[in-house]
Amino acid sequence: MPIIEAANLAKHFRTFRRRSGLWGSFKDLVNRKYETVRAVDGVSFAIEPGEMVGYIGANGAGKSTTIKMLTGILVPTSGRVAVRGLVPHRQRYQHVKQIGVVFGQRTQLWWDIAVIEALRLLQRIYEVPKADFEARLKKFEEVLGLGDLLNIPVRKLSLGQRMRCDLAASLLHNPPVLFLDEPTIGLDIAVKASVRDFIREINREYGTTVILTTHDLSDIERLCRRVIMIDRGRLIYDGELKSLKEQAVGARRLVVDFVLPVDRAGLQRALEGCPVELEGGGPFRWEISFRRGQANAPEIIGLLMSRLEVRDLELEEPRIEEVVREVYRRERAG
Amino acid sequence: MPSADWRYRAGDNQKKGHAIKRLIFYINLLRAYLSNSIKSRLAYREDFLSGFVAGLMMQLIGVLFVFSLFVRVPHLMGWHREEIFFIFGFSQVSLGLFFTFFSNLLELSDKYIIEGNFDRILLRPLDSFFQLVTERIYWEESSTIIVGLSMMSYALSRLGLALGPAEYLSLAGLVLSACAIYLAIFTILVSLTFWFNDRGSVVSVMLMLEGFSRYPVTIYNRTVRLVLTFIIPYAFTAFFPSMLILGRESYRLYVWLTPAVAAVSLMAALAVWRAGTRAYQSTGS
Ligand SMILES: Nc1ncnc2c1ncn2[C@@H]1O[C@H](COP(=O)(O)OP(=O)(O)O)[C@@H](O)[C@H]1O
Ligand SMILES: [Mg+2]
Repeated sequence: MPIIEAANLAKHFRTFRRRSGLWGSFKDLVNRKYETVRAVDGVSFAIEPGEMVGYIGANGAGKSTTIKMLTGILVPTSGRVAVRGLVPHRQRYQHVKQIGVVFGQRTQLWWDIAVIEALRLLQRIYEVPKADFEARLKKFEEVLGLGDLLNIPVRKLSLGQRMRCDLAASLLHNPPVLFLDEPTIGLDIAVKASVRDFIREINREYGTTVILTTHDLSDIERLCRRVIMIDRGRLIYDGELKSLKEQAVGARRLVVDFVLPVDRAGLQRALEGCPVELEGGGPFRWEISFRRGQANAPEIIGLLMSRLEVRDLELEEPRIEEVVREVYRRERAG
Repeated sequence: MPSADWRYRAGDNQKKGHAIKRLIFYINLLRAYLSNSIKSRLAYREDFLSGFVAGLMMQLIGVLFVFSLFVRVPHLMGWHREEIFFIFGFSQVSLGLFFTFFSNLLELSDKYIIEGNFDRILLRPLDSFFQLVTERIYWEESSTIIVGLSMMSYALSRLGLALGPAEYLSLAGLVLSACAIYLAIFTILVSLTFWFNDRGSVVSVMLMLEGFSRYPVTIYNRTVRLVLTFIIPYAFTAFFPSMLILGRESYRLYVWLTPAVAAVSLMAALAVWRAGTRAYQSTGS
């Protein structure tokens, strides 16, 4: 039986454009021009216990809005949602006791008090038995390296430190379901890695079901077998990450810096016979996009190195916007 | 390797707690919140002290103004100046209590709704109103209470009134009721920001109108009096309850209506609050 279910879930926001100036705000008062933003527009999925699912999409796709409905912050405009059989916004107390939530942009902890005090308050709020609290705290200290942070007020933590503390706080009551909204946003590589390791370990050891939103595909690669992708509020892919990557993620991009200026024609001559697209206007730096299967990186790099003087080059991971574009392209193609 | 400790899962025990158990739970939590609040205030002693002193100065200036008004005027429309001081002091004590313990309500619009911090409140298995109120205590506002208490005791001694324990107790109850009325009025007002993105303009108008509650309502015209009694019940935050001590027979009923008005308006306020939290739209970021 699925642990999380969404059926035709939708959230529409009614907003109005604020006009500028004093006269503008007066006009706003009298006559507002409302628009409806369909942030989430009829999304359905089911997640089984113990799964770790990546919920991905470009900025503004509707990821956070979905998470806010699953966690009971927002009341859906229409559709159904249930987590372990509870309707989040109706059975709020019971529901939030069974979930852990981390928002990358915003801390869940009290601003003014030390981390350890915040954790102690959460222990009381979630009624975590003392022995469990101590055991978990010890574990978090080890795995997340919280030791030195415990006595610092939350407001003084760096982003990476704060994220580690937020993760610990969200798991203090050992919830069966964990929601992570952009948990690695703005973190440096080392912290990103430790956050990912920790999430994976929690999932493996305690069978915690995890939904993770991100617009950084490398998060998903390290953590999730299944991905759900949304775009402009609509679900456009739900399935294995592997097949998404194999079939859809064809677009790659190579960024090359040249020692001498190179014009478009010169570059095209150098890459004669390779089906590539040239972007980004030179003359020293060019972005070369190509599709897997039609061309490959070693071949292109070989041609460039033998015919032009290359200062530096970098093969970029596909960006989420490109993956979204790819999924659409594939759909149109049939 | 999962230890036995981890086998317990949050949310497994979903039986609803007994109401009294729940109350004890909240009281214990409140104690923890208060001790944290005091600790963090002590960490910023200087802020607290400067806030407290600044508040005290403001209060004293206000009081001096009132005193100076009445230097040559021992009576105003049938009221002794000491009676007026008593009412004024009463309103300061109840308002001071409200500001000290419930000021965080006034942050709802900017700090919680527009910045989206209300998300965090809805994610905890606790009453949202309780959380908002306890998240910050404004200890420095206690200067208002102190000034108010001084005015009341000054007035009492000048009026030559000695109160017995029963009267002190009733007075304390009435002060708490008056504070609850302020709480209800402002809860309703700030709840409106769940629906309308208002940056506190209604609240500041209401704070200005609060000045009306410091004087006997009989000095106002009929319309204002009716409004202050039945629509925005500011008359119950100082004038009517003060009549317990200043004892005018015609107001007996109103004195004891005060707790009832407090209870009814607080219940109405909490209902508006609940409806508001359901309309909360969070923010896009
Ligand atoms: N509280 C809100 N009020 C109005 N519009 C919102 C609100 N929250 C989100 N939106 C809009 O809904 C869309 C989806 O937002 P969001 O779910 O935050 O996207 P994501 O998390 O995928 O970046 C965006 O266009 C955003 O501007
Ligand atoms: Mg988001």
